[in-house]
Amino acid sequence: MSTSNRTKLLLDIGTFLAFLVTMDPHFSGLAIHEWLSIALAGTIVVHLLLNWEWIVNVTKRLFIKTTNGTRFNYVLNWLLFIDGILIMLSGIMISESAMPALGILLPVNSAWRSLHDVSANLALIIMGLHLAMHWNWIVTTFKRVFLGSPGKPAVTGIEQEA
Amino acid sequence: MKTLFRVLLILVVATLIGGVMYIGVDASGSSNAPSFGDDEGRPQLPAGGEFRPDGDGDAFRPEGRDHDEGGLGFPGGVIKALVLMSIAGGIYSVIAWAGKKAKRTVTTT
Repeated sequence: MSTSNRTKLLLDIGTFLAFLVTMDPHFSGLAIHEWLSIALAGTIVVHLLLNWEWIVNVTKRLFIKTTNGTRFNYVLNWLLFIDGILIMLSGIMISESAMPALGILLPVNSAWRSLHDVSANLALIIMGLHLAMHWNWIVTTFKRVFLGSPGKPAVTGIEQEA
Repeated sequence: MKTLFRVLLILVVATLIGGVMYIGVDASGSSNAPSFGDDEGRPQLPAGGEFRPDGDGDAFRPEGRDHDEGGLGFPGGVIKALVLMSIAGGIYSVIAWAGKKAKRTVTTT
C-alpha cells in the first residue's frame, strides 16, 4: 500500500465526514457550519494537489484519446469544483458568524441565499456520482488500509476503462 | 515550488470563476431590485419617526435564519444528504452496469 493512497483515502474520508456535517447547520450550529466549510476549502485544494497528475494527464488527452467514462468523470469533477466555489462564495456572502468575526460586513442580497441552497443540493447529487465513479478505488483502498487485505492495486472504474 | 505554483493556479482559477459568479449575481440582483418611492407602498413613519412592527411590542424578533443557534440536534440534514447521494450514486451504478452488460452481449454475439 503506497503512502499516497493511504494519505488520499484518509484525507477523503475526513473531507467527506466534514462535508456531511456542513450539510446540516441545524445539527452543527451556524458557527461550526461556517468555519468547517472554510476549512473544507483547504482540504479540497490538497485533494486536487494529490490528484494533480490525473488532472494534467486527462486534460492533455481529453479531446484526443480517452474513454467516454473518463471524459464524463473529468466534466463531473469540474462541475463539482465550480459548484463548490458557488457554495463557498454564496456562503461567505450570507455569513452571519465567520465573516463578522473577521470584521468583514458584506452587503445583503437575497439571491445569495437561494444560490447557496440550490448549489448545496446540487453538490449532493454531483458528490453521489463522484463517489459512485470511484467506488471500486474506495472499497479496495479501504480494505487494504484498514483490513490489511492484499490484492491488486486499487484502480477506479474509470481508470480500468482507460 | 511546484506545489506552490499548483496551489496558486487552483486559487487563481477559483477566483476567476468566483468573480464571474459575483458579477453575474450582483448585476441580476441590482437590476431586479425594486425601487420604492415615498408614495409607492413604503410604510409612512408615524409622527414620532420610529418604526414599530406589528406584534407583541417588546418581543420583536427580526426575520432571519431559523438555524442560527443550532447545536447537535437531530441530524436530518445529514440523513437527507446521505439519501440524495445514495440515490444519485445508485442511478449511476445501474446505468454503468447496464452499459457494461450491453457491451458484453455485443462482444459475445
